[in-house]
Amino acid sequence: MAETLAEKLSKTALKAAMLQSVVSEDLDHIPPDFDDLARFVICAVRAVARRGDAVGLSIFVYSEAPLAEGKPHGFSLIMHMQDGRGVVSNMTILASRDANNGAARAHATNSIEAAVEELAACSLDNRTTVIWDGAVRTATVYPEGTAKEQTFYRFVISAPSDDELTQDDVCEVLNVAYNDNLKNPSGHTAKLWTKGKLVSTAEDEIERHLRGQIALFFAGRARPVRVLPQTNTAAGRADLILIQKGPVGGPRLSGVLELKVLRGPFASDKEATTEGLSQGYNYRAELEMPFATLALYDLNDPPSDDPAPLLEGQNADHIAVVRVRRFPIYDSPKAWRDAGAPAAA
Amino acid sequence: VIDPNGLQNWLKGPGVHIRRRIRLLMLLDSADYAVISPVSTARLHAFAYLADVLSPIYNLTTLSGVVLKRRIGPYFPELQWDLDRIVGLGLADVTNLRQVVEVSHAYLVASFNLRRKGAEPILDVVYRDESFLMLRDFFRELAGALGAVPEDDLDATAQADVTWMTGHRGTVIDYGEWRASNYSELSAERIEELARERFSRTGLKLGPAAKVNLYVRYLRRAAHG
Repeated sequence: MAETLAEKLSKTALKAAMLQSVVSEDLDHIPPDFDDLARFVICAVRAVARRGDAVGLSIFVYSEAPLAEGKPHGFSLIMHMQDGRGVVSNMTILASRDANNGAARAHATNSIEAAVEELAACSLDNRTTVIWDGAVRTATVYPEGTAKEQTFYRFVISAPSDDELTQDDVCEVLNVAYNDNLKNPSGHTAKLWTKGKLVSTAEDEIERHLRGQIALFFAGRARPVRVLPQTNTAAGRADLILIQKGPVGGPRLSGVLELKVLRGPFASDKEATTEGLSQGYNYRAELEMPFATLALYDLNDPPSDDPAPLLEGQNADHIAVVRVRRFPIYDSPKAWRDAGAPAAA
Repeated sequence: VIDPNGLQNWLKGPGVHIRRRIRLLMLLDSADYAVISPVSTARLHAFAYLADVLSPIYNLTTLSGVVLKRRIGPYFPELQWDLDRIVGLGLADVTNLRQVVEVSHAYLVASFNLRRKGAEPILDVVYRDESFLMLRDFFRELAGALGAVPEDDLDATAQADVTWMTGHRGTVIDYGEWRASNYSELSAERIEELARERFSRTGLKLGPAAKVNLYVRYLRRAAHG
């Protein structure tokens, strides 16, 4: 029989107990699994949102050589921001995708306008920028820099609590994601339509967007929350599994979020619901997790927010365990307004 | 001011030479990216060493494949030669120059960082090649993971590497010829295996970035005992 990894390593200087500690305690140190700019945004928010003292204005600007670029403008070294080191309030900070080490400079005055002008004066106004406003716990992201002030996304970040992640928290982030970005998604958030036609990858698009939104929303949690995407279990493929660091020790499984896209007709929507319910129920049981949520994204014309018709005649055990939410997605802001501008709550 | 002929000559040469040189510029560039520069001689060699042993995680081939186990840490004579040339060409700045004595030999050590004005045009050309972008991503990941290590622990962290620790002092460690003797990579894979066991049946899969970061977390722990 072939030698296992453990056997191969048993003859080496590997400290097996230490490797085990990494697995049980450090898993939440894996970097967010996104492209560089999304990773930068999540890490920048993480650097500031968990801190009790981040009540002022912090501006993070993406740079591929932060200190080299900042030094001529009077920026100085700031280290280990992800561990809560360094003063970030009322600062502009140049950093790369991990927003851990960087270069910082204090704002001359504490106004957003003045700080944005300072960026332009340093020719840094064309970089992906995150403006954190501690007073309202909001992160505004300018993907193409503050010079393009019309192109931005705003994210509300939850308070820096020490609490356990709950099903209600997950539903809250689903509401926020819907109200802010998904009710009538632009191509920048989730590309669901091309030339009026639904794309086949709509489910992946929504999943990608939600992963980012969940990572941002919970970035303020004192006990880090991570999303494991597309995990394969004995029960099949789970869409998003949430883990959170325990009050003591390492990260633990918190819950599972199943996503389904409804494209009609009714019979196949019902089938998708049956599948989502059964997956949520089985993953939760299989992985012994506290909760399971099924989010249905309705892309029908017209869409609906009422899960009741889809739940009729479904397995009662599944319905009892899995919380189901249905979100109507509109293909344009006009369609959304014409439908009475529904908001998720 | 860079002497263009000198630069051309330095960048020329058979495949492995040019790869080695580009790799060195990229290592210094990623040190800037993670804000761990200027980087000392010892750390640059340790960084180059880890970048070599861990490259299979990104499905990249190792470059040197062998290293002499010296007391003070990994050291590649070719890398040092190229580093000196980079300084001579005006592509890197030297600070904190000092002499150290090991057994009967004296070495000059210093700290280095890229002189970006000269190096950036070269790197711009290099990064147009997709295969180098993958390498850049890996170097940035490793530099970022090392950049999270407290300054005082960094040297011990780099030397806690499993392949390095397993080798005998004064001998050549060969990790390139046989994948089976690259214990660093095997340890990183073992982390994934253990993670899968811990999160019973989630079918958790760790990406290469996660593996590099978690392996460096292991090195930090191992450096402390």
